Amino acid sequence: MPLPTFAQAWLQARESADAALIFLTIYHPMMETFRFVNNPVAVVSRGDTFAACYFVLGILPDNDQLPRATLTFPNVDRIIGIKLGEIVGPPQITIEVVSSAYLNEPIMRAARLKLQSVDVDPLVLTGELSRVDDGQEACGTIRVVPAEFPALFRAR
Amino acid sequence: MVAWPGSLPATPLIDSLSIETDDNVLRFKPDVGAEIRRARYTAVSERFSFSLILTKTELATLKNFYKTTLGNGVTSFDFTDPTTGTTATFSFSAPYGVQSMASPDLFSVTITLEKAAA
Repeated sequence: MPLPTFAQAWLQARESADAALIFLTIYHPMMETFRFVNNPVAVVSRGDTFAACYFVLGILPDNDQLPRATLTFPNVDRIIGIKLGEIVGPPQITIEVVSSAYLNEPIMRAARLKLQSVDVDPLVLTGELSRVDDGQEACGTIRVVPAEFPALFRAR
Repeated sequence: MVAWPGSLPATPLIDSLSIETDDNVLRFKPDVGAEIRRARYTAVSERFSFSLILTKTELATLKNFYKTTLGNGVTSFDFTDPTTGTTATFSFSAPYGVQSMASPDLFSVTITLEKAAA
């Protein structure tokens, strides 16, 4: 997909007062959806409020393995850590890069990532982001988990 | 949100106020040519350091406010920005410091606050 004109101009500009914001959406049918932005103040995009949060996304390694990146964000209010402990199956993560001047038009979007190997401590929550490895799926098998069949599960 | 106690002075001592603003610029300096700059966030926070002269009673009020009301400095509170005169959200970014003065009833208190980004 080609970049929009505003994004091309923004990326090529020598200086710009528009910040590159990263949106992080955590979705799972057994809990409410969490939306964060790596910014000191909350922002509204496409009608949803993304709460201010300092999270860190690791850089993807360039090797022969499946792309994986670490995600670290504060667990100060403990709610997310508790929720992730209660749900069945990994939550789905969407990451978007947005210019602060065009909050409703993401420049880059990585959706349907899985947050796995979650490690929760009182201050920090760390997990590993990966895509579903279709090559590892056994042929003819359907795993009935909440993320794939949300209508079969009811939120608490 | 709780407010700074009305019985405590809110105006910094003359010559004691110092303000630091977070650097909100991402910079790339190439070997040759002009620097490339981008904004990091849409808002930045500021840190205010200043001193107050407090009596014993006022110091007790400050201690109680910090320890009990703010949960040892954890929660934010409303405070008047000394540069604008408007109320904004602040929090202690470090515990306050107390120094004795020539008078046994007066104390010099150093306060370091962070003004929330807005």
